[in-house]
Amino acid sequence: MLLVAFGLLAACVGIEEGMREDFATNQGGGVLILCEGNFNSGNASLSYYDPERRVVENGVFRRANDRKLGDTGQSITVNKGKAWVAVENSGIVWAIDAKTFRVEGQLTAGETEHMINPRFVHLISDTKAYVTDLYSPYITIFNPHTMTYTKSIATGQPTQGGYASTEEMVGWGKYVFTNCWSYGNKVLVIDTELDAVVDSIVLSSLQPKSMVVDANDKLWVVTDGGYSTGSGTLGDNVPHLYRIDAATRQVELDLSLGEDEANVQLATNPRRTALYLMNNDLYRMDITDRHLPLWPWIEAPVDADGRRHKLYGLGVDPKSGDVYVGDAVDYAQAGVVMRYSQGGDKIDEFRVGITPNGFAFTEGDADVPQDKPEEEEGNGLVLVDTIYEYMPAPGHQVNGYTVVGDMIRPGATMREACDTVMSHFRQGHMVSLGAQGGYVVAGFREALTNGHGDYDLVVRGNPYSYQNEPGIVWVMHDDNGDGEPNDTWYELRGSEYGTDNHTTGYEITYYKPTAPAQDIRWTDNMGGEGVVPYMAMWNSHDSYWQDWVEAVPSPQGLCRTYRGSRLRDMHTYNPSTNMSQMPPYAWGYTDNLGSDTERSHTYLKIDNAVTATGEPANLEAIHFVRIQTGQTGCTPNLGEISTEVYGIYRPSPSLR
Amino acid sequence: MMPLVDVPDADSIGAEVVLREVSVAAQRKLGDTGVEKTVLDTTKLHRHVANSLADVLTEQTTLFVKSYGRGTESTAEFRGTSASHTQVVWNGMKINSPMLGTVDFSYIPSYFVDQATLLHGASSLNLTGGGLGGAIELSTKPDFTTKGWKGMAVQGVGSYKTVDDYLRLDYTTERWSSSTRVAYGHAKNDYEYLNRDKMVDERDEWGTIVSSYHPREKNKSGYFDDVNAMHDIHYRDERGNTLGASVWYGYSLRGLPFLSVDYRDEAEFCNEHREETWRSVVGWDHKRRLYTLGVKGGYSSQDIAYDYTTTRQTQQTDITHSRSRAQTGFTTVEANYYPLSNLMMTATVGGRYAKVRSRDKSPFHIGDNYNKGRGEWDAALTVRYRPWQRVSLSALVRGEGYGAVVVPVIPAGFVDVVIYKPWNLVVKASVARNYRYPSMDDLFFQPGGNPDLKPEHGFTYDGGLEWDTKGRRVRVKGNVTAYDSRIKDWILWTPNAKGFWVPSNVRRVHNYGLETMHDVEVKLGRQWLAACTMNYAFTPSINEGKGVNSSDASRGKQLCYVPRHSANIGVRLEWQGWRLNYSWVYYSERFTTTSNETQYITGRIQPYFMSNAMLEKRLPLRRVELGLKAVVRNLLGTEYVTVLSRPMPGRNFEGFVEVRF
Repeated sequence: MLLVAFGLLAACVGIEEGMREDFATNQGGGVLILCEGNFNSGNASLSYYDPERRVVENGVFRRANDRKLGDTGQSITVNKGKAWVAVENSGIVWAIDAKTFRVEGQLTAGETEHMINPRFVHLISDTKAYVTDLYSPYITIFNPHTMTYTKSIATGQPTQGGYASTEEMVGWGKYVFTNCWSYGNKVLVIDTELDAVVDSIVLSSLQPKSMVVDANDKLWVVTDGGYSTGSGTLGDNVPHLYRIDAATRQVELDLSLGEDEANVQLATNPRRTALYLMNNDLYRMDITDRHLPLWPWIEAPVDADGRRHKLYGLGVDPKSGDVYVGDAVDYAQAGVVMRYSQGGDKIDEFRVGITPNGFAFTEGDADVPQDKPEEEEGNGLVLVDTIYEYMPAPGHQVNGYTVVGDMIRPGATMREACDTVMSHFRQGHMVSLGAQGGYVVAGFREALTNGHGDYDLVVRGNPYSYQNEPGIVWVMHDDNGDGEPNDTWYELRGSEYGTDNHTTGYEITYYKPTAPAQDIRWTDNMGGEGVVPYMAMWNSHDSYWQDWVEAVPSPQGLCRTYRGSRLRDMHTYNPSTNMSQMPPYAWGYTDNLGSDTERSHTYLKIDNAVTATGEPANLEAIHFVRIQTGQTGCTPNLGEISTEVYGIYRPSPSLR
Repeated sequence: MMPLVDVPDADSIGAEVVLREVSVAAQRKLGDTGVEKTVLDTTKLHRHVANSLADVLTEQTTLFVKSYGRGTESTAEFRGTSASHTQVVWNGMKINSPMLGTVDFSYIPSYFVDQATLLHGASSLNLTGGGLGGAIELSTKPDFTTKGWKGMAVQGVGSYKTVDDYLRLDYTTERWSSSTRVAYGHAKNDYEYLNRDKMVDERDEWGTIVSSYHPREKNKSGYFDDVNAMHDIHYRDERGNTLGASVWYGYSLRGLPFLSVDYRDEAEFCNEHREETWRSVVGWDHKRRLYTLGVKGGYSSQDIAYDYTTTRQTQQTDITHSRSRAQTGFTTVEANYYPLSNLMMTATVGGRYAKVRSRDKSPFHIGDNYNKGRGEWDAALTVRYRPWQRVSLSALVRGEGYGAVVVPVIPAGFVDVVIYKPWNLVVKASVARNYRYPSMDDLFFQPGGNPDLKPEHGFTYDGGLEWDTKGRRVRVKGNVTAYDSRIKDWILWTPNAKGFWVPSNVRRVHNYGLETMHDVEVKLGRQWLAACTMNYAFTPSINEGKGVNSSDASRGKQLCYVPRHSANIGVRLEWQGWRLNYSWVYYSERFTTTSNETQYITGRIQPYFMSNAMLEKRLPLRRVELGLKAVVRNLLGTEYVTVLSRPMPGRNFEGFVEVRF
């Protein structure tokens, strides 16, 4: 009986049964935090942090997939809704959905020729990615979509008497720089067209650890200087910070840091105009500075009894600019992550897994092509095939926005601008309409008929619960049949139509700036005036007036008037947190988290089209659509309120 | 724990267990005053040749043995302390690695030990210093009782291509005793297990996952080849002199098993540990009516090679390449003086010199880790006195030092009182201060070694009851001990920001709890014997250090991998040459993080029960005795892990054929 009893108990204990959880992550994007775990314990883990709700979910990989992440999580990379996690001592790179955390694929060492301990993943294109390695003198190339091995790049690094380590990678044009950390003192230059090492940069200090490229095309490299703890010293233990011209590959600046045992890390602000350097404390310097800052930007916390926290991981949110710092505590317990605003104010602190070492920032739904538009085009899901007019109002996100970069070349014509917008819609990339009144006009390949009660039209934006920039949608039937949008526009009525929040017949005039870096003044037909501010931190271009937007003379200078409707600006701003709240309207507007918006897609009905007097337009079909920025507003931290559009689609089950 | 009477060795040839008539009111040994100890004799040690000492400690003591399978590192911990707090002495020589401070019990075949005495807590100071948890004394004993030749050969074959061989040859005369033992163990150890840490995804033609399952995988790189050979020779004369020499050679080649989360191919990697050890001890003991004198000296060397290489490149590539050699010489002198029948004085003095050379190539270091020598010494004086027949007292002072460091004087006091003679019911208590000085790796290893480390130190208080009573057919003995120990300046290795590990005196640990052991033997008629041993330990081992910073949530938490509850039960039935052994081991939940996180699945090791069984039949033949044994490990096929990402084997078998003459 005793044996039977023991046996029953034995069946109940030992191994925990797993199960797969579904996660509801923030539509506006979140932070994936890779926790390294302990070597040879297999307890690496992934945490997810919702920066809006300030909640954290730990161990999400295991919970979503009923399997372990592996041993020694080394790095995480996010792009277009997918994350790649290199788990070094398991010899695997995972591809996961960045929102559900579900495994989409994996690349194991055995599936490649040379991979041993994968360290970092760098995406070259949708079909090509590189993986560096701690031990292998090869960089592995794989298809990040199919997670299949392609080939390897021989780095030429020694394998005997030393290590062949390659670490982080940063892209610059067609080149990728990778640093040789373990015992190394080089930065290798890889030509991504040739898939070959074409050059190397030799540093005066050992063990380059972290790299970034700034807005001036300078490569910043920090070394840890090796170690020095007695006999067998490697290096002088003095970290160095280098600034290297990415084009000439010449070292322009070599700054020696203090001898320390710190985990040195680099990151930039979203515009890549400022450098964050972690070396015990966190320092911030301008990329034009020629000296190290004397005082930390954020001091590592020091307890009342003098015990100092050691900072380990570093990451900067490319959208908000918030800085995330990991504290590994004793490396054998739940680590702590601290979140700071761009102003250096502490926003939050939370526990994650063991030894948080990497941060990756998932795009919001609006940032991510949830479906593949080009494939959808073949299925008839992409609704528009021609952009007739792209007439953005002034705004820092229109062209040259730091996060996205240049969209349209200087001196571009309206036609080129429209083609670029069409290309962006096909690829699911963002287009900004600028400040109030800015618009885009698109045409359907075939008439879109009224479903009378069903949703007929889908427009994708990038709304967050705290950041809505509603756009008003107008539709047109090709009455004269000439295929041009030269008939009558009908506004699609939204929740605010007919209320005090909505103004029809609104006109706003922008005055072309006369000098670089100027605010852009506006006046409206309601007696209002203001400016679209010049905000170099978001966009350092000389002017936010686009080349293809023609200006006409007026007594007050060259100007352009936009006509349409206006929505009331609802935003609030909190100076203490430097955050703005831009609440959504109930329904009927794009880039707005209303009841008709799911996963950033706003569902619209032709039945809601109204005439200029507010009567139902009773359209049976439409051929053109125009989307305009609805609000006249400007927030201190984000600048003008501008509607963003990623595409215009036909409703389909896959989008619901 | 301490037997009041001698227990016959039931494992002798043709053993038919007959309990010797004893006087239950026998005088307690003065030398054992207040001592908490567990004695493992050959009945418990020599179950089968595949057992290492780690297996025996797991199944039959309250020690926690951290191991992840046969042929892997196995360390033993007393009372929630660390492995380096367990001091181990073999035939008078301390065999803790001078590099690590620990002993890997998987390298010690249980058949190479004739008696193991576990001294718990403060009691360890009667043997050696540094045992903050306790000490284990391992002995090979000359047998002068059976003259002439005596031998034993065992062949074992088991699951996972396991082979075990053992040969022992003894020759004894009135004055000489010679014993030679050789053991060989080999296994591919490629057991299959359900890998719950991985998942195989099946996809449709569009790449969509349509189903997933946990794969069945084989343990990779778990092979081992262990060879051990030992020779003991002793000479005695009628004037109380005994000369002895023991030489022990061991060679081991072991693959280090892959983690369950490793996706690499075993064929492309070699992750291998080799170790060659020589230990030799010579001694002289002289016994007279009023005193005894013992002198011992010895030498040991330990060569360790660790290679982690891959053939993933065009040529073999070293990932880690490590070599170390530790050589140790020692000498001790011990004198016992009995001026009165109720007074005993013991003095010991010893010296030890260890030299270590360690080199490696790893991602964090190339070259000499260190090449250092270190002298160590210790001296102790003990006075034991029995003022009344039922009361014994003992006081001890010990001095120790290493290099130029002299640790403060270590005092200890012991008392025991017989409170009920018919049951030999004794209440005992002890208090002691203890120190453990850093190992040479702690001090010198590059990178990371910290020459500024201080010795770990603390106070230990023990108190308990012990009983031993016997009727005509039944014998019951046992004990229960409560203890409280606080260790300061606990040395902990943690990774620094550059990735290599650094030791520091960061912890204060409060160990307290309860240990209890019960032995029951019942003679059922002429041919039947039933015996049962039960051990239970309640082991809170709490970190009370202030932590590395204010975010440190480890304060007040149980130390990693220390179970709060552990228990084992061993049942033995004997009948006409048949013997059935059943053992059951239980460990409660263990935490893998210092903050005892429970929100992660990897934050704890689930509790588990383990059952092993052995059936044996002895067949006396004309000139020899034949023995047949069948062992079933993990009898119930439990899925379990003892260490994160290290699945253990399911039900497995081994059979043995044994010939004795």
